[in-house]
Amino acid sequence: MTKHEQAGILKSIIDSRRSVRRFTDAPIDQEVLDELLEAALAAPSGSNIQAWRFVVVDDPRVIKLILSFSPGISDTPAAIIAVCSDTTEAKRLGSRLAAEAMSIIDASMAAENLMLMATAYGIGSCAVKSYNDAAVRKILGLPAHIELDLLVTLGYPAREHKRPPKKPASEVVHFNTWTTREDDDNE
Amino acid sequence: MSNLSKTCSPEIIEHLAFLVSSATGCIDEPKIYGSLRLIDATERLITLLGELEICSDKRLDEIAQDISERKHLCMTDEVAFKALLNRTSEQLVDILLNSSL
Repeated sequence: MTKHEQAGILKSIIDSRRSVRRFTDAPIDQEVLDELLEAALAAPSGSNIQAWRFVVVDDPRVIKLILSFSPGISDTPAAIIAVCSDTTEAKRLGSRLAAEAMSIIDASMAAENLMLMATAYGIGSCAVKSYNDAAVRKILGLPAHIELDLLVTLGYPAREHKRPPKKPASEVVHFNTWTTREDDDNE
Repeated sequence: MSNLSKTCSPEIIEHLAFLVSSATGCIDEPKIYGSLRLIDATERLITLLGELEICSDKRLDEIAQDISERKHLCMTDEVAFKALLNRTSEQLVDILLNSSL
């Protein structure tokens, strides 16, 4: 396969990813979940600290309980992956910056890998930050030094999702230095 | 306080959990999430009333369906989201006008 063809396949996966909020009842095979997690673990990590930690929830009773305290989840997914950071590990191997900022950046990149791999398998996903942190931490039994960064819901989409409007590159991309629209107009 | 001995079903406690969690989250979430949570709670309450066989109304079921299909427009089309809220309000007016209240 040429590099161009590889890039084309990846682009099609990136372009077809949606934040899916309605799911079918179909479960996700463990082998597929393992592939999604492998993709997450392949993400970049500042100083390779890898302070990320994951709690995979596929027990329907635990999912139901999480849903009760997560206003941002409006339908029952087949699985939820809690993407967390070990702040003690981050501080030990890195620094305060690692614990406060880098670990969440790493967790986000891992979550994106996970969601893109899910898309490749035809599985819908949604990154969720609208949950009751105290309640979900209690449900998952997270120790105090484990920060809950976000929840990723996973399931087979119940319907097609349209692409939401995205800002064009011309509005958000600058080259070499930051320019304002006035600078652009005066060139 | 009443002397009812019947305990509240888990579905009711779950609805309370949703409301409290929404209250907690809305402190730091985008302003429009307040409206989203409230209209979502409306849909959930209509569904709950039917599931618990407390009452049912086809017009309320249609409202719940409308909300279910359009509530997430708050993130991409605020005009359509506001139209949903206004439409729901008007439908509730009609229901009340036609009821015995």
